[in-house]
Amino acid sequence: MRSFLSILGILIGVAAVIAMLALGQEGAKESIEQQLASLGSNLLVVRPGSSKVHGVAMEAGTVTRFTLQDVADIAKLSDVVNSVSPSVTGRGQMVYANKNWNTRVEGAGADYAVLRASSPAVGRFFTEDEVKMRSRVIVLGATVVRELFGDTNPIGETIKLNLVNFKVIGILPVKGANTFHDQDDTAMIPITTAMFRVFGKEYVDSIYVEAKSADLLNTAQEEVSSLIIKQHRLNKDGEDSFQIRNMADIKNTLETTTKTMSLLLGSIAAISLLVGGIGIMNIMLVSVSERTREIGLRKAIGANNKDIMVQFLIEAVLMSFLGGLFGVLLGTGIAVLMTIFAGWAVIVSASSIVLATTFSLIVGIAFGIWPAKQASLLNPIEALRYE
Amino acid sequence: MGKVEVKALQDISLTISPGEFVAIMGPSGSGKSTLMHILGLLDRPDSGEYYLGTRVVNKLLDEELSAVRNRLVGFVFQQFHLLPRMTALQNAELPLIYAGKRHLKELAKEKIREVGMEDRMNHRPNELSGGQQQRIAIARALVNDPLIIMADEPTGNLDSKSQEEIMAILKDLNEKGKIIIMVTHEEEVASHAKRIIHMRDGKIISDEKTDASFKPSEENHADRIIDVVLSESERKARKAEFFDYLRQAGVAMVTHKICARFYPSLVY
Repeated sequence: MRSFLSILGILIGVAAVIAMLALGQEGAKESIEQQLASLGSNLLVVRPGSSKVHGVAMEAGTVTRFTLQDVADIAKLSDVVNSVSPSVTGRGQMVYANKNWNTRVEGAGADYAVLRASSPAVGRFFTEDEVKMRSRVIVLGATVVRELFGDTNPIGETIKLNLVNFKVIGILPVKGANTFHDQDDTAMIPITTAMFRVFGKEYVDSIYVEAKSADLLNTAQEEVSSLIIKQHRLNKDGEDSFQIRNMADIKNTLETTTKTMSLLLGSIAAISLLVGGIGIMNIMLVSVSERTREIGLRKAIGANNKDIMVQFLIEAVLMSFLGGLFGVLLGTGIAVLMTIFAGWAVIVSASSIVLATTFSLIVGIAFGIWPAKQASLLNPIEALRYE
Repeated sequence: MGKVEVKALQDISLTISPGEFVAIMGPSGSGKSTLMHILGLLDRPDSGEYYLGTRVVNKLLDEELSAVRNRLVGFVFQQFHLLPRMTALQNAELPLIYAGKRHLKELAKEKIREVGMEDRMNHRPNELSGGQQQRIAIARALVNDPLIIMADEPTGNLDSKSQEEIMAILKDLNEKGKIIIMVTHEEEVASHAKRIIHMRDGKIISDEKTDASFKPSEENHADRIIDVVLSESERKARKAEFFDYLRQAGVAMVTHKICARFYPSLVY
């Protein structure tokens, strides 16, 4: 019973290590990767920059207006670029039967679905032909569907967007909310339809470019950049009139934050292991004084100092090892519960289990060695007489 | 307290021959226990020499001393000193582990049979009477086939019937060739011995042989056994195996009474 209580210290420590590593390091890394994947991988975003008029900076997008021609040119860089999609955004009022809803409307090319990991869960995305035809087809986000249609199936229905009839052909995959807004409160229509039928824009707001691979991301960025400079005949001053954002930068920032967090969690775990170790040392010292006569007897029948020492050391290590073992189980259980109830991405990796178990063994040795030494140095005669 | 030099023993000159049954008597504080501890290699004299066979053993290393003790000397204590969480059989096996002969478990059973406890082999000490516990302790002392049995008031805690049984066993062992050295302060117990040594204030005041017919045998096994014990190969073989430690640690952990009551099978 008492051993169990002291094992408990190690157990909690190890469970904390496992759960924290699972949550902090692996889990957070995983959820960051998921978030980035929902944005699309290997993605470059080309956006117009701001201009300065007499030293006064204007809003982003005021210069270097990209056209559909730019999109077609970028698409020709086929050695580094996988797919390209222009994008215009605006807001629109949608009406279906007696309900209406105001949402963000994005016009995009047919490649957008692949590019931004947005292939519809239900129905389909619009095709290249529909983009060329300026078809009035629309793919709705889950929030919009809920608001306009409730539980009824929207596919094939006709809604009005800014008084223009659109046919619903698909529902976007659920992406959840990011930090500030609901990513599902959106609707997609073909870029041409958006530019010429809905918003009356002649320029695209931004261009999404997918590089062939993560390694080619920087090359692609440079090539796209020099292409735009050439096409728009930008001079040195004008080179910052557009910008290319790279998802890898965002990823790095997120990862640094995560690292700091796991370091913090790790130090908490280390402290609880230390406390557990002291608990083991305590119980071993009690055990040594309680079993003094046993030690005396063992020596009398021929155990030498080393035998006694090893015996007590193994006892300590066994205790901490058991604590570690059950701690791994408990920690994994906690991690699983967190996944189920809190919905956090939590992953228990083999390396964190090995790490935690190794630590529990080290704690056992470090805190068991002194009591074991004490036991081995007892004088057998005095030990036998000990009451 | 300070450092007051206490001479527990002085001017002791004593020879004990193979096959003797010696009783050491004297009031408490007379040094009889100290003498026994020195003879049993648990302690060393500050000065003087102790020959076991033809070899001075009081200068051996601690490790060598415990090995010699393991093989040549068997202890029987007044308080029995059985480990409470092990069965009688496991208690009797204990010296084998330190002798590196753990595979000879049969030996322990045989010795328990010799002391007439075969039907109680799997009982724990607290399920046995004092006399029975002492018999297990004797079996434990015998398991490595020692030359000398050191008995420290072996019947001090026993009723007279058990006392007779224990003395009978000791006498029987003596007849089979073991040296018995027994500390006691009861005349009746001492009368079983063939030689009675009286002590007072750390000195021997009388040394009488009660059995005039006794002829000490000239055989000397001690040297041979010590040579074997101290040889290199023996030393290696003696190392208790990791598994033994692990088993003992496991036993130690689940021995708290609550656990033992509910899961007696775990203790093995």
